[in-house]
Amino acid sequence: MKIKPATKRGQVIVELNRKDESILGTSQNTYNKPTPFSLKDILVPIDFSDCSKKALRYAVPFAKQFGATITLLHVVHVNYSAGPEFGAIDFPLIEADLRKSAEKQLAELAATEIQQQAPAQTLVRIGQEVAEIVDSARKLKSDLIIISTHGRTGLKHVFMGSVAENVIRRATCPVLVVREQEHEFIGN
Amino acid sequence: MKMAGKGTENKRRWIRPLATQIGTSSTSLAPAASRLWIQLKKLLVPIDFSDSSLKALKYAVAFAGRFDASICLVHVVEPASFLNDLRNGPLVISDREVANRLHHKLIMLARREIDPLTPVHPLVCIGKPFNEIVRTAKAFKADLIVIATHGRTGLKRAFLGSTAERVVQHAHCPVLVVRQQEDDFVQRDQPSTDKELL
Repeated sequence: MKIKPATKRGQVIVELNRKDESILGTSQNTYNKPTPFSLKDILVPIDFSDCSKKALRYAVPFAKQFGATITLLHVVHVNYSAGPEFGAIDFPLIEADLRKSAEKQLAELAATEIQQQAPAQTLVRIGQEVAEIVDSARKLKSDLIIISTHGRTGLKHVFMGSVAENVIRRATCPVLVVREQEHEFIGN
Repeated sequence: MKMAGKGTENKRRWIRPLATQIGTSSTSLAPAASRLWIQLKKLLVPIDFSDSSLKALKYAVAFAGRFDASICLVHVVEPASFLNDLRNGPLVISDREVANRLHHKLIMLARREIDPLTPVHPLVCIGKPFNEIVRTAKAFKADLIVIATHGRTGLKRAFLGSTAERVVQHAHCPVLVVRQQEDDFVQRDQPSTDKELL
């Protein structure tokens, strides 16, 4: 710290160095400490499209670097309104069948995409996509949902809707939205 | 419980290769099967000075600390078209003036909330919020946008709209959507109230 006389009478110039910062009580004191991450469970909804596999591509490094578990979720949407024109439909049987095949596919996906890089579990639920995704995230106490979107806009968006968007709106945890074609932050 | 223990162990093990990843000899450290890494270098956080946007900032700060990323803070001033026509009115503050003041406010926020070691780029744009956010993200080459949403549904949503939603639709990069009331994965020291962030 230096004190020099100024040109005006009765005034001085005080020069401060970096060392003198403590006198000023600068930002270091007011800055709140960073908060640690506790990312333990990542939910990845999968519909077996390339788009949803991309979400998984993001989930794996996240799980690896934060030591989290990946939960692969597939929601089977059964169309109950399919009429009885072709005879009675045994919905429980169909559901069981769909569930079994989905479980098998999920296990395969986990084996090829995740391998041994992170602990993973699979989950198949039957119902409406958005509600089931949000509900399982809540029940599993997921810390993060990683979901992909096709990123349709305009008319296409209006008609084809977006599961991702509805999930964002209703989810109780943070949602990472990944899109099919985009700038990526996952690299080799 | 066993899983949790294993998890933390994993975390420690993996941080090191990530840090050395900047160098060239990273492949020798990581097994061949796991070559994908999170490379977050630039985060963009839209700030409207609401509690929820401060929460998004908290997440961004945690990410930036973890991945040595820089943070771009964006505040968008919506042009008040009607007021702008009254240029000579003494009470009217021009958009530019508002932008200047908010820029200062943004810097103060950055000093308070962000780690002094994290590079910060405070920016104030004038325009439609989602448009400006998406445009800035592209110009800044952001790797991730961290945005907060109020999570309104039904009629409220239809009228008040959601900038976050539109950003998700139009962004060129992944978007992390954080909401005000939710289960956090960024831990806090004390049980949180949103006041605490201010």
